[in-house]
Amino acid sequence: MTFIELGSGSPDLSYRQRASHVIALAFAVFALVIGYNLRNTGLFSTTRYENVEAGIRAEYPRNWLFDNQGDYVFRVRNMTRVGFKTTIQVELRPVGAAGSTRSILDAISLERFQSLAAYQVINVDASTPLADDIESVTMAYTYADTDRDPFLQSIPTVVRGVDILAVRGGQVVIITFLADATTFESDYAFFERFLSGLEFR
Amino acid sequence: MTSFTPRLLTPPREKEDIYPYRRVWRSIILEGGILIAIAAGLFLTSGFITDLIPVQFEPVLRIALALTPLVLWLIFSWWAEQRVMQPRARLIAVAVIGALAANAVGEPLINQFFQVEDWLPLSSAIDRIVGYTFTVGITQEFLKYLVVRYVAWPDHFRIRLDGVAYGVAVSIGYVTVLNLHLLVNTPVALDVAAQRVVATYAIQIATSVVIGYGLSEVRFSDPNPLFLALMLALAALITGIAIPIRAGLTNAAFSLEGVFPRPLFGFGFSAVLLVIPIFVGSFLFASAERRAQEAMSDMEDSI
Repeated sequence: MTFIELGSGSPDLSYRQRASHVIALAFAVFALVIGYNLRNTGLFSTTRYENVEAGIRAEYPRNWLFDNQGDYVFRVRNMTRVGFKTTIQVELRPVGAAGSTRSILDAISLERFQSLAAYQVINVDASTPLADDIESVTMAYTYADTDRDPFLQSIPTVVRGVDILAVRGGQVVIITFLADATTFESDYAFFERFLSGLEFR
Repeated sequence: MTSFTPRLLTPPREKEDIYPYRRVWRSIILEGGILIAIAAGLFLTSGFITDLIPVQFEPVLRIALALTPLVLWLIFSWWAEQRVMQPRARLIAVAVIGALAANAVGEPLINQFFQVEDWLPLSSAIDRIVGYTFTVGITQEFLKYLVVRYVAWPDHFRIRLDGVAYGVAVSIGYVTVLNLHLLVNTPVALDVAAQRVVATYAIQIATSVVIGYGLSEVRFSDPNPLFLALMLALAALITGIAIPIRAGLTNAAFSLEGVFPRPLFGFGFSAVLLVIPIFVGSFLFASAERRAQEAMSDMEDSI
């Protein structure tokens, strides 16, 4: 078999060779930008939910599992998460005329002390992350989540949660965000987008 | 005075061309074949091995499996390279820089920035192919291209098959990091680990042939300036197609009779993915070499 060998050393590149590399670089950067756009579309595309009875309109992340069969208005969970599923939940509770957000938070905490392991409130903040400057209170907390199936023999997960409470017309709206403590920071972007699209009527 | 010319009983032996380089295709076939054989052996005997080996040794076994492609490459490519007349330089450098690029740029970009596992697995088939092409595919192939381009090209490209040799070297570095990330961070069963190692290896080697072909053509044939970008796109597309198809073939399908994964389909797909580029690549490289020789002989005739 014969073969052609070009001498070693640093050959001068032809115009076409230089152009090939410049075009390849430009193409790769262009393709990465397309990938970034696809990522944003995939990660942050939403599905609209509207509940006239509760007076809520929301945009929840596409592909999250929707559920409205519990004692809440609705709940969506990211089922692609291994272990604890990142959750956004909207709940309505009646509140008396004398009821304050502080007393509601205390009531919620008392319930959770009894039902959640190692439940601990981190802080309560009176900032208003909701749209239209709706007055609200934010409570951050943690607890240990254990799988209900004992045969799975799983280690408890540390869950970080955030509740946002807003009193509206004799009802308190509780918007809850729950995530594994290790993914909380990255998943919080979903919650922020959810809040920005949340509307009360 | 009479002259005497001896008569030979056998015809004179023709001079044989000595090929002074390592034969790249033979190395790839040996490495791929042995890796598939090891993985198939582990797959068939994983239950027996799990019973035989204490649990604390399983991580060691997984790491050994992750390093198997690298060890095979060192034996059949790098060591073989040292025994030929014209060894290729900087193969180790290309592999090491490929591994560093994968660990420092490729994996964080794919897992933490693109977050492909959060949005692509639930998308439709077409969306997954497009998504994996423009995220995982382009990231991996662009990094591999950059490493070969700036470490070995054009100084160390003497023949066309150097493109494949350096492409495989950078892919081995990349594969090693991918496998270590996968098998160290995720405690998967041995049979699953074996499938993953073969699948990752097959995809990386297949695309390295494409990138190597593109770089060799630019070095020796001066093709259209779009050619290299097209090869980059093709390599990214192969990755983009291979990941969802392999997942679709291997993962369990829901049925009334039960849910059973189909690992043999995954093995078969990886084997096909490894074999096809070798055949197509060897044909393309041979035809490019023949074209170049014809052009050279035409030029000599005209002179």
